[in-house]
Order: sequence, then structure tokens, then C-alpha cells
Amino acid sequence: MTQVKLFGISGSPKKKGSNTTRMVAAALEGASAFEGVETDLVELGKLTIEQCNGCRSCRKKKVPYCPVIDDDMNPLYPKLMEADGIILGSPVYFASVTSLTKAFMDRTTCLGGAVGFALRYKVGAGIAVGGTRHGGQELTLAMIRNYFLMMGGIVVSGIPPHGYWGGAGVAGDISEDEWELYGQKINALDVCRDLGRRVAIVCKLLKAGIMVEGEELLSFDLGKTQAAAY
Amino acid sequence: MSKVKIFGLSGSIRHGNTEILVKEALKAAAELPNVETEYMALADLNIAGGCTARYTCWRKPSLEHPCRDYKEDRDDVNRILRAMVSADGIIVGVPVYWGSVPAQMKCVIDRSMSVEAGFLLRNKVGGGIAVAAERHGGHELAIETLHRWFLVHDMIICGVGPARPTTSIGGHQGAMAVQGFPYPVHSDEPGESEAVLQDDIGMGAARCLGRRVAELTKIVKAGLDSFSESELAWPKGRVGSEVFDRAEERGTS
Repeated sequence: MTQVKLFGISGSPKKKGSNTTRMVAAALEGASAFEGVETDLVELGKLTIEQCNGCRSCRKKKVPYCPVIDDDMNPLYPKLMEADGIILGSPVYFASVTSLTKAFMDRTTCLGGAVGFALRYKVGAGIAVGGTRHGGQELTLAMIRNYFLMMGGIVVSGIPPHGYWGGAGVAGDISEDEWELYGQKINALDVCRDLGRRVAIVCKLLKAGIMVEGEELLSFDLGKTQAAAY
Repeated sequence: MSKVKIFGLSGSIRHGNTEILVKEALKAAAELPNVETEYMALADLNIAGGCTARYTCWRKPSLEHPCRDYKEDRDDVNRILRAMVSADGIIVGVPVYWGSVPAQMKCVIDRSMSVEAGFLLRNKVGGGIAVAAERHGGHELAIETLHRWFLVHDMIICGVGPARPTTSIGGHQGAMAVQGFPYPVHSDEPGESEAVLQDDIGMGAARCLGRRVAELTKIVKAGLDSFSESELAWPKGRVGSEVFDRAEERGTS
């Protein structure tokens, strides 16, 4: 039984009543429908996260954590390293993620090139909740997916057709915002459940595949990791 | 060990910089064991036009002739679609036209809806390459367009991966190259259609992308082979399986 771990992050600054947190939790719930899936949820709104100050100490020291700022990012680095799949959700603030979410993203730079891209076999997917129907969710989801790609990760869709770009929702009561798709009533939380399920499936595929192919691939020189270039 | 096929498509209407990059990526992909590659170029094919929104493909899905908008004696899009469906990994290279892909490539993209029924491209690994005549020529945007295409097909997307060319990196979310180094060779200057050969960074990125797609394709294929179909199948009747369910009901699958 392939065991996988999914790490969900909600980038809403609200400490309670956050739609984004509900959506991310629904994604993790959808993933848990499979056997062998462990989930963990973190709400950035309850944490203190400072902005990256660009000192590049992480790159100079080549460590997978921020060696300079001592705050609530510290416990998140091992969680990111242990996860097989990462679901990052944010409210939509001006067609983009919240500054809190962005601070989180920036502070994960240490997991990038200098350490050989710690997320390179991890799956990433996004969730975005906007204030209106066409409120910038797609652009926010594009930002989240490009974050994962720039971290060397692997990106998947939610389930087409309702989750092409990830999980998108409209604020208000997201469990009541329903629409019909091929004769079935679904809402934004269902979209997120499907997204979580999809991420879990791909995590399992990768994990099982690495167990088969890993040894052969690891012995094959995939090219120099140019840590020095950073 | 799983055998995989990587399909490389050059989305340029001529044999130029894009072709050089896609072939470089495929060459790097083929260096991994048990990897077979197939290459096609829009420059060698007829693209009769775009999607005509008749939805014949949706009402009567077909594996042999996915898109029936044009007669096959003057249109090769089905050849491309069949090659994509039979591959395990897909690399697409495009020249950047107006921050996006060229029209002929967009015809292929639009008409690929004909293989969306039943999610025939699901779980294939996809990577993008873009080349332009400027450094900030719109590469990232063109590659975003390709990624959006891949996402709607429920494919698995990767960037250039952790390996690096010996110098620097040309793009993260896809391989990005400039025609010419250190300055772009403009489109009215001699040698411009192969000037990407001067861009070591871009050529290296294409190689890294080829290897990354091959590596992940092998892993995903091995993963797919180790699960039974029922374990991975979307529950019947649940949103996501419905197009084939409906086709089955009507007896037209």
C-alpha cells in the first residue's frame, strides 16, 4: 500500500471563518477518501511569518530552511520536505495571492536551487477563493502553479472540467454556491474534494513509480545540479 | 523497467529555431534507458483550420479520426492527436507570437478537444519550450498557454527540473531560449532561423527539459503499471467520467 502525505496550506489572514481554510480542508478530505493518505493542514493566518529579506544566506549555506529569521516558518520546512503533495490555497487579493501567502512562498526559496530543489518529486496544486465569480481566481491559480514549477515541482489540474486550473471558489457561503454539471449538483467544496483526490492519485503514482524506477534513474547522471549558479 | 514514448512537437510553421530546440530535447530524453521518441513538425504538416464548433467530436468520439472538421487528405491534425494519445510524455516547442503560441499551433490546441472526451491524454507528462527574438520575448506567457492546454487535458506538468546546464538556467517552468547570443539576431538578419544555436543557456535548458520529461514519464508509467485500473478509476457516474458514460449509453463510444 503506497503511503502518501498531503500538506495543505491556507493563506488566509483570517483566524476563523475562512473560506479558504474550508476549501483546503475539503481538498484534504477528498484525498483522505483513499487508503494510505495522511493529511496535515496549516493556517498561515494563525502564524507570524516575516518577509524574505533577500540576504541569500540559505543559498550561501545551502540549507533547506531559513537560517536567519526565527519565526513560525521554522516548523513548516520539515513538513514541506516530508510531504508528497502540497495544496496551497489563498484568497484572491487583486488577482493574486495574499501578501501572507506570498511571504510564505518567498521564505521557501531555501528549498530551491541551492539544495537541488527539494520539491522536485512533489505534486503541487492550488486553490483560490475570490469575492466574485470572475474575481481573479484563474490568475491567482496561475501564480500558485508557477510557484510550484519554479520550485522544480510537478503540477496537476483539479479534475476537468470544473477544476481545470485548481480549486476555484467564490466567497460567501461556498457550500451553498451550487451549480449543475452533467446532471449532478456540485459546489466549490466538491471541486476541492476532487482536487485533493487527484493530487493523492498522482502522489501515489509518483511514489510507486519511484520505487520501481528510482534506482535506475538515480544511478543515471541527470546532469549537474549547479548549486553554485545560485 | 518501463518503456516509454516521448512525443516532441515543433509548433513552428518553418524548420528553424523551434525545431532545433525540440530535437535537442528529444535527443536528451532518448539518453535515458528504454525511452523511444517520435518527432513531428507543423512545418511538415497541413493544418487546414481551427475548431469549427460543430462538436462532432463530442457527440461521436473516435480514436481513429478524432477531429472531423476537415477532410483528412488536406489536414494532418489527427496524425498529431493520435501521436499524442499513443505517447507517454509530450514535449511541445513554440516560437513566441504575441506572448502566446502561433495560430497554427492554436488550431492543434483547439481541435484537441476531440481527444478530451474520455481524457485520453490524462496522466501523460507535459513540458514546454519557447523561443523568441528577444530576451523578455514573452516566453513565460507562451509556455503558460501550453500549460493551460495540458491542464485541461488533466496531464502532469513539469518544468526544466533540478539539473542545470553548465552555465545558467534558461527558464524554470519551461525551456526558454533566445535566437542569438549575446544579442538576438533579428528576423530580417541572415542566419536568424538557426541563431538559437548561439544560445548555450537556452539549448542547455531544452536538454534539461527533455531529460526531466523523460525521467518523470518513466516514473509515472511505472506508477500506472503498478496500480490496477479500478484503483485509479474515477468512480462511475461521478463527475469526470461522464463523457464516456454518456457515449456508452447512446452506444456511440
